[in-house]
Amino acid sequence: MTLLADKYNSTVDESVADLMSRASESRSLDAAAVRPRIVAAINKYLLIGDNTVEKNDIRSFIDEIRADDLCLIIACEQGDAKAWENLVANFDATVKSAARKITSNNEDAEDLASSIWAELYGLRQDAEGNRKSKLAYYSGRGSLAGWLRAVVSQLAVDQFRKQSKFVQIEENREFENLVSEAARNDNNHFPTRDDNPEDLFTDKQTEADVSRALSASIASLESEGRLIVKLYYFEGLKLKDIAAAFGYHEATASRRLTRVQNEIRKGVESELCNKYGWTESDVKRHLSETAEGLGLNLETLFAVLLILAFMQEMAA
Amino acid sequence: MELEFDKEIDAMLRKARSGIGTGVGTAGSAHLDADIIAAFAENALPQHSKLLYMEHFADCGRCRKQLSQAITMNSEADAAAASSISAVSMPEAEAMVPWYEKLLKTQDLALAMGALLLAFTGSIGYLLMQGGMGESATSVSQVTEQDPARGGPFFGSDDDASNTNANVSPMSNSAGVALQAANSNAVVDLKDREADKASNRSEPAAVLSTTGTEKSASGADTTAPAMKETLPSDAKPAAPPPPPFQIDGSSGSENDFIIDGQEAKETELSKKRSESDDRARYRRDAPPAAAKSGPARAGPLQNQSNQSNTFDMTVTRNAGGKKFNNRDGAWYDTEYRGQSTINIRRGTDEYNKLDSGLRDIANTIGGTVVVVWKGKAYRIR
Repeated sequence: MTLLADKYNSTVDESVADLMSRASESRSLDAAAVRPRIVAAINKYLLIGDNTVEKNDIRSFIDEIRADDLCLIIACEQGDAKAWENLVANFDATVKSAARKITSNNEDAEDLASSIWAELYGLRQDAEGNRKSKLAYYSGRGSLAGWLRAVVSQLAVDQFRKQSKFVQIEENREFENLVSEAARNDNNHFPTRDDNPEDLFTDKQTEADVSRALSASIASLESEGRLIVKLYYFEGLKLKDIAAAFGYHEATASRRLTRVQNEIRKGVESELCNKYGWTESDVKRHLSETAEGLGLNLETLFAVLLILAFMQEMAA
Repeated sequence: MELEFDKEIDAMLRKARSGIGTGVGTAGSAHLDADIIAAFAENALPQHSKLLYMEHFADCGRCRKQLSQAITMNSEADAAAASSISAVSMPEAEAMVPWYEKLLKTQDLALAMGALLLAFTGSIGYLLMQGGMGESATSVSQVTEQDPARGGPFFGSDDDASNTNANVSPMSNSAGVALQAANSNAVVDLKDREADKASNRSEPAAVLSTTGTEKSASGADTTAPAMKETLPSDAKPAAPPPPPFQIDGSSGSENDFIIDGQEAKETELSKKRSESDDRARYRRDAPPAAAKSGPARAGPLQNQSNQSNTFDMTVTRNAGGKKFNNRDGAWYDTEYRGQSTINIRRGTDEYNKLDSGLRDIANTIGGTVVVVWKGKAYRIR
């Protein structure tokens, strides 16, 4: 990553001055207090990957920074009590709402929200005695509310990972116990038709081939298509929300998803035929069977979901 | 020999599985921070950096998970903000809650059930009342339906048996009711009617033939509305004026009540000069004039065929073998034809000198009574 060249200093100064004039409440900050944060954002987002920029790029980048949110955060970082009051008063509901969505109960949500505010305030200090706060990472490119939600999400993941370490150990021991027990009771196991080793081996082999072909096909996609597929299928996002994140219209996102599906199908078929020796009829039969099974499951799932949704509507 | 758990290999495998190292340069060894995730979720990154971070999100499950959470929460926050704005701008947003949800709330359910019970009870009560009123209305109608059978609605005399069914004989009682209720929409067979007239009339010459009868005789109009037959030709069918009294001074005769408008006019004109005194007495002693509209318009006999509610308004009483109709608070002997009356007050000597039968009638009826007694008309108050 290259750093912002000195030749852009005047451009940055002008743009920062414009930003300060745009702010409805600058909170007694001057351009000198804001400029370092702006330059850091330029280095982070504009000059990443040895990107070459022009003065207009810098101007438009700074023009898109949210002046009020950035001034509020910088003022908080500098210990402005009133700014802190405003921040808590205006965004505590946002933090708690995000915490409630991520956690399973209100107690955990309250704990998580408290942790967020502590992290934002900066309970830890560096070697020079300065408080280490997450506020230093806010660039002003996105909204402050969105950034706070992302902070909540990150902190929740971190806390979950810390807790899951202990859970993982317990699960491993449990698994080991189950394996040992299965080994001891192996003599009492009666094979059934489904347990036919030859069939099991064939099924496993088929699944492994398809799984690898699918992974390879997805991996061969461009990053945009790959992310769309994963957000849609693995993360369960709605097309409307994906489109908003990518700056598309929903219909555009739908068309792109369809195009990606076609690419994946071609990739899977090619991979199975060329790399694993499947015939075209095998591929079609397997995909058809998979689709039928999935369709049946989806119908059942859809009916259950409908009933649950209706019950929830009635109970609400 | 039991192998030890290799933490380094495990960490390396986890790192490879999560796609670390396949992302952008700066994020190659670390996950993306909240600012990048938030800006990406809001599509607020420059295009160049957006493409680079997209690569990381596509391969890093942890960052992608946080990105998806951020996108979801932003979407929900936008929806909540939009709904709160609409709730502020539209107080009636409460009404947008589906009705069945409101209904199923315990308190509302109780209210709804109570309202249903009230409505059900009210409807049953209304039906019962309707049934009762129907019966009472039927009984009133039955009383008045006897009039056409006895003397017909067009002729008030009931003491003359020959006058019964004089003009509406072909019509059954029910048809007569329908005729009066429907106000002149029924059709009368005029030929039959004429035949009945001929057979029932005791003094045919005195009966004024109707225009409809004449038409019937010529075969021009056999389906003329019944009301036309009983009304002057220039009268409006919907609300014809009440038929005038024949002021010939005769009492008790059947034809002293004129039914045909033109004939009545001619009769009146012919007698106008010679009977001016009688007319003056008539003005003085005649029952109150009929109102221009409403049930009272039918005149003293009240059972005029052109009044749709004649039956309901007719109130009759019998005393001393006579029948009295009430009109405007006074009881009129059905024999009374508008002739001059002798005014007598109860309790006076004149009253005490009256025949006992006449006094009995006056006492029985009470109030103002106009009685025709021995050829004279008495107005007793």
